[in-house]
Amino acid sequence: MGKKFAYLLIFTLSILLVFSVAFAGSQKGGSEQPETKKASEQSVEKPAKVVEIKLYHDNPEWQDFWQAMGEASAKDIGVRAVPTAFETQVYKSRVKVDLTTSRAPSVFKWWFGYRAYELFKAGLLADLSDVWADVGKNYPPGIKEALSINGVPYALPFNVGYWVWFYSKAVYKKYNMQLPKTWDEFMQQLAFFKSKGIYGIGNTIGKSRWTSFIVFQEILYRIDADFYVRLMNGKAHYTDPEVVRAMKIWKEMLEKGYFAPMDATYVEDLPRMLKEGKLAFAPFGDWYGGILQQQGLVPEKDYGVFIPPPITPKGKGAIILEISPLCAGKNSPDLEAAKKWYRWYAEKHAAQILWEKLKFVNNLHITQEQIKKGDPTLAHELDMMKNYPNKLIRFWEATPVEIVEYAVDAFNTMLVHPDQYMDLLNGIEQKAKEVWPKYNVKY
Amino acid sequence: MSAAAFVTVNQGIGKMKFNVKKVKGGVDTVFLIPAIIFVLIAELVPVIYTTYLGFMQWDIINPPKFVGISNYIKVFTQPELLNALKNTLYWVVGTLIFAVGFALFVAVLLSNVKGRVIFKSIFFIPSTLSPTVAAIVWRRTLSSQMGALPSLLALFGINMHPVLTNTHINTFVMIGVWTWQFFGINLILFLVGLETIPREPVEAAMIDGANERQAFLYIIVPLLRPIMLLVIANSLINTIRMFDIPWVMIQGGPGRASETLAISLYRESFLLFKMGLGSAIAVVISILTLIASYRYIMILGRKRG
Amino acid sequence: MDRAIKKGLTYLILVVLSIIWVFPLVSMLVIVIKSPEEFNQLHYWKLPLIKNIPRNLITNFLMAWRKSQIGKNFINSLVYAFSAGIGSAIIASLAGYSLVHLNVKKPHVWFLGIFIGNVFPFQMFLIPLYVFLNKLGLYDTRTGLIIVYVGICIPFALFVYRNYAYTLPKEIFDAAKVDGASKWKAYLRIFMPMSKPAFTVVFIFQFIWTWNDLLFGLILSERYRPVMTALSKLQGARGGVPVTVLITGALVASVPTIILLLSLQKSFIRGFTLTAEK
Repeated sequence: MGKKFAYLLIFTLSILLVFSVAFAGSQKGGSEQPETKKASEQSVEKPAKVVEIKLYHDNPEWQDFWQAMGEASAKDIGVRAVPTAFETQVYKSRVKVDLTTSRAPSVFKWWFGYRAYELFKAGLLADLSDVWADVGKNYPPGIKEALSINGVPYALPFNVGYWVWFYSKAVYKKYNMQLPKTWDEFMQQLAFFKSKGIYGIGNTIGKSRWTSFIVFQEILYRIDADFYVRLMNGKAHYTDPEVVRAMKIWKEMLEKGYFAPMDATYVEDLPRMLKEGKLAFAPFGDWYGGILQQQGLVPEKDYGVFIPPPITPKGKGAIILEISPLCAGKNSPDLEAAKKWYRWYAEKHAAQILWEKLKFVNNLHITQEQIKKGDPTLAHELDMMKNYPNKLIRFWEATPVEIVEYAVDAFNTMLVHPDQYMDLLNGIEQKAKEVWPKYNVKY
Repeated sequence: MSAAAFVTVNQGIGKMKFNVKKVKGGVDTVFLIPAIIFVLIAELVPVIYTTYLGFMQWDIINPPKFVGISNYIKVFTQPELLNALKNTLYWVVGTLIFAVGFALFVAVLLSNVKGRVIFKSIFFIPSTLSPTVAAIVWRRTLSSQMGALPSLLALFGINMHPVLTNTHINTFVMIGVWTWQFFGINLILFLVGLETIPREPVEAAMIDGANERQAFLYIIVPLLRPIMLLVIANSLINTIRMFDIPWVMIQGGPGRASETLAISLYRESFLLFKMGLGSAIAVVISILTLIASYRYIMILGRKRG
Repeated sequence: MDRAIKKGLTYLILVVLSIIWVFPLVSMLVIVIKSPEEFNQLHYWKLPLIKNIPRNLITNFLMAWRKSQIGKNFINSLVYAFSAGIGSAIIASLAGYSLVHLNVKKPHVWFLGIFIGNVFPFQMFLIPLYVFLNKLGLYDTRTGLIIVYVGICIPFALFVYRNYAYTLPKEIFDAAKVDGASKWKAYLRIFMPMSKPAFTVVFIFQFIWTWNDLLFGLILSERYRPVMTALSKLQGARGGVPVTVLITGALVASVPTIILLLSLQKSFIRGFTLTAEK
């Protein structure tokens, strides 16, 4: 009796284990998401019910915003995008794994340019031509083209932003100074700040490896914007004189001590230093204004934006553009509902929420007055963009991912060992030689 | 278990009335099944799969492709990975010197000192924290922006430069953090070992004219061997796969400067999507661990009874 | 004289080391008694007003527990660590019992077959587990992580139980057999109660290991992540959490292991030396 009971128990346990694994496996999206599944099943029977679709993003601080969007769209059109926030470090692998299966997210935040290209090439992105045909009028010209590959639009914009230099009002007020008009004046001011014990440039790698490319990009395109484009597309080399010149300028700035200590963090330390007048500049995309405000800085009172002058005439009128796209997984089972959601997303209600919660402007529904009232610094920046018609793609997504990842590591080394600049360039050039043929580019 | 309890259990069994029935030996294996299932799922099948992936090229979104041993060639030729190999070696040697050797030295110091319990407790406290917490705590302590140590030194007019982004010293600083954390456990283990050493042979040797150093080297060290083997093997196994501290403190940076093999594995597979290369690194880590702990495992796995 | 200098030197070394050892802990205490604003405004080593300290402690704790979701992850970790500690102990005790006291053929081979799992570094399992759990839909679920944690804890647990089983005289089990107790009864009534010390060792080791794990949590979970992984995320680039809250969270996350280790230190050290005994 006892013995039989024992074997029975052990067998049951083992079988239970195997079954629980198998059962959980058969459930899409994992066993911990039964609500999602149920909701979409019911929706098939009763169309009146809210359809739920999956939305992936990589910023936990945006979770509240996405939830608010989900509620709004559920109310407006009966489609709720249920957000999941993943950590940046595992986000890409997670999305890639899911995209190849029927668990593919219906909406996910990605990067444009070459970072979208690899997914597109593998046939994992849905064609959003029909959505764009309906809502294209809501976006400024050029956006659709920027989010298309071979003429096929694969995304709607989430954030459209420019790369500028945030500066400390406290520093400029204290010394009663004007923003520099020429590159030389800019360098003189940095030298002056150094003499006063103020850090000139906040571009550090304390907790973030990716930020190392920023100053390289900012210097290079100010030397020659067309060259920057050629370099990004594999038509110029990392050992060309333009790049070497950029590296030399960067090296000099580093060696003269214009940079903040490298272990400072851009989320906590730099905002505090800007506010207290210990740091003059921090180059970032305009989304950094949101981080500054979160850390208690007030636009136009504590910080403003500045666009450094070009180094040579060939760098005139150029600015870096960053678009974060929202893409749809081709293998997603809810693609139709997702397209419905995208049409809603391009309209006024969604644009308003996006503006109120995140201060993002990506379509034409937000008026100039609104921007001026909500974020005068951003309004000022957008105003200045008239003088910068030449929009360049950010380094992060402008060139093949393998080159970017390698270069970003090399630039990290540059920040702590500026004297090694030529070795680092040779290394990147080597990598570029290795990578470009995979993209059918003769290099 | 006390003798009384033992008798009670025996009596309890005596009261049970069952027919003696022979069960075939094979059936007893049933007791092993749950353990085997779990170990198969979590460890043995993954080991085989990783070994297989080590010979493939795979980026998750496209199907895997066989590439022979080219991943292994990369592990030993790609400069970043060679650097990781070198850092791992630093970790192994550095922890042997500080977390093990120095702990033995302090244990000997402590063994004839009053107030031993207090010192022992102080050194043991960090062992109760996880490596993640230790890394967070030390990052805060060393940060040039509102860090505890630089702020303290600034009071004395000393300007401390950032240490974690200094590629010449950051690995050694982090070895120091590891030492801070695991020194205490090693110390207590050595103390336990020292306490079990009988006094007579040491005293006899001293009477025969040996000095303290000789007594230590020729009598205490050999008697400490079992504990030494344990501590050293543990140290080797843990540092060859070092991940937590360099990851949480500086993500193996700046760039890839302080990467260990375990961090390279993580970066190559989950950030750069070279799953095959990552698997090859895992196999290399396994082989190194096997070599380093061969003796220890043989002792653990040997038949007893 | 010579002896006195030696003694003095010894104490000097010990005291200096103790200061180094305590320094980071003291500096953490200085952080957690400040509010985020006080931390930003005051000099690091300037203490806040004493009457503010209790309030600061409570706000920091609440912000870490609720807003930064350390609480949620803390509970996750409790679930994982208890499951791994108890689950691996039960499964390993069954196996240890059968290997030593039952007629399993070639027990040595079985033991090595299971124990070999302990030999490989964890990185060896990482990629396949990631792929498997994704395929099975168990990625980022508690079930998935529990299976992984229990599985990884079993080899060491079996090692402890097997060694312990050898110390239990075979005669008891033979006597039980003669008395007609089934193998299952003998396991329940004799082996289980008698192997409590082994259980303690296994439980402490596996609880602490699971609690402290960063790697598996980092790769196999997102929403159901254990507390260490959540902490490392707070510390990461997108953290954006005030320092006072981060450090409070780190200290809170250490409470279970501190309690466990300080109260059961003897068993813990014994668990270590167990592996060094001849």
